[in-house]
Amino acid sequence: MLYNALMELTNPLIQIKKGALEFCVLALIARGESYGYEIVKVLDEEGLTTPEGTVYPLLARLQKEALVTSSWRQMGEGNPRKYYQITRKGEAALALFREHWKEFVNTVDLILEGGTQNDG
Amino acid sequence: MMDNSSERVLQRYLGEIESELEQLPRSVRREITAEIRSHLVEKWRRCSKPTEENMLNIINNFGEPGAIAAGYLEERSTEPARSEASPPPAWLVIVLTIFLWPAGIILAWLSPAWKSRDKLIATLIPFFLAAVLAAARLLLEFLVG
Repeated sequence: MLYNALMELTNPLIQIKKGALEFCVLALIARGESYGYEIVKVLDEEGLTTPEGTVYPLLARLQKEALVTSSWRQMGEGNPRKYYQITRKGEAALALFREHWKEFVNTVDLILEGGTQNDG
Repeated sequence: MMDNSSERVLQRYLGEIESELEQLPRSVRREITAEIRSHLVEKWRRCSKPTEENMLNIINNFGEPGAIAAGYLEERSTEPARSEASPPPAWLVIVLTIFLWPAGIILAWLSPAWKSRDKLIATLIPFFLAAVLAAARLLLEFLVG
């Protein structure tokens, strides 16, 4: 019983998180170019822990949509890294998401808190 | 440097992911596994003890090869389907016509192989075509309207 209720609660949250993750990754790249390992680490530190394996397909999609570009770099004998840079299109998409996300969160908050917009 | 047994474990895992991605072009598969390899190697090197056992733990933590591959295939399948040969965009045609037609005409005027009369005709053909098209459009609008 409790388990089912918990699953029903967390599943929509997982869906929302999944959708927002794409833009969180984009926002991290917007702070300055970054690579997969670092992105996973920072997401974790900021409290948005995700299975590591999910971030990489997401990066591939961001690149496919031309929101980011990438370049391989190797320091000496070190492990090569694939760095991602945000594009203009990526910055525009991020700005738009920020705006819509704020609006969405405000609306949901208002409804959840039984807002006072009904009768005015 | 990585010891042989850790390297073998890593190669096997990346090989499994690559075979799950069979339907993708080889270069795409290689790029994907190279990036995952980079992640796993970095994590392993940062371990307190870079051992085969730790490599296994890191791999387990990263996810099942099938699930990883499914993630990539899912991302690709959500993109809108494109037709194989798309026609050139209209803006490109217009830009090329505007910029290349004068170049062609200038070359024609410079060419000794053309007589002045032919050069004049060549120059006027586009204007003539434009006039015909405009007339046809007017006629069509008249008929439809």
